[in-house]
Amino acid sequence: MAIQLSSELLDGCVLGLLMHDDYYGYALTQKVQESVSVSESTMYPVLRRLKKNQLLTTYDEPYQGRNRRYYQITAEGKRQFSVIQSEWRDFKTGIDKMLGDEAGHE
Amino acid sequence: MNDYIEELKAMLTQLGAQEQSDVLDFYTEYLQDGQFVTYTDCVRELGTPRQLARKVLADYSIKNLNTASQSGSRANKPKDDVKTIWLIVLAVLSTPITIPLAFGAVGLFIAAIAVAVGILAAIFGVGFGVIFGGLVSLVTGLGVVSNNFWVGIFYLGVGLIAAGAIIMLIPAFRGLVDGVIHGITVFSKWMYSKIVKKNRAEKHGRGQQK
Repeated sequence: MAIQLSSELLDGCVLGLLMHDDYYGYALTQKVQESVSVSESTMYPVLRRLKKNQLLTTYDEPYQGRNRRYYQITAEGKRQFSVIQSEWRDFKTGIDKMLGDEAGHE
Repeated sequence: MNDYIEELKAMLTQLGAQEQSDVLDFYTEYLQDGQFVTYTDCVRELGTPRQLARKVLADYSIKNLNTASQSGSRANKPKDDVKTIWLIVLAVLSTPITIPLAFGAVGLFIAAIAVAVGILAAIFGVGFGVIFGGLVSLVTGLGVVSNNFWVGIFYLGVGLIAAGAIIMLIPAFRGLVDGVIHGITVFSKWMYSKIVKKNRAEKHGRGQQK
């Protein structure tokens, strides 16, 4: 696939998933990969960046004698999500005008 | 899996303790949750520890560079740049890419480095030339001034002009050198994103062409 996901969009995708539910790292990676192709090693930098910008927080929950780190969206994260969402809608509308259905309807 | 994490740990010593344990925690949990038990499983999922470590380090240092240039701090920037270039070279070399692409990339990279080294050499050449010429002129002037006053004064003047020119040009030289190094950094970041992204797409079987 030639079209690449920008890091802003990837941030948006992760925040979008976290809008519905909290996830731990592996599940979140799987979830993202259901929709778009990202490498296994791209998720850590994304989560780190989001946490640093306080768009998400983490908490640990015991699971089979160890901890799982869950990622939870913050109020700031929700706000940022709606920003990215509306930017994406504009972008999508623009591209759809050119790529939408049959190409070249003037 | 423990071997894998141990190897990864050994390669992340450049990071701070906190950052290092964050990375290791994340991947330990990841491998446990994905039930990647054997070393081979882990490598299949995340690449070899070396590849993963280089990717982590490169991402980490690109991010640092970005935040540094955003905050506008110029302190020890060339040094950071050089470190970034080096990390990116390592990251690119460690990613499995198709051979023709690798040759192309390496060729391009060597060419870019060569151009940069050429420019730097030229800058230093001009700098040393002026310094040396100025010194010779000063010494000659001092030697000759007692025998032939006017010729001596002439050489002394030329020497002083050279010294003045050097002093005036030092900031410009520094700017040029910084600029060249920074240019290479930007270039290698660009190459890094090109090559590594290509590799990602291949890995997921879209546009497979091995």
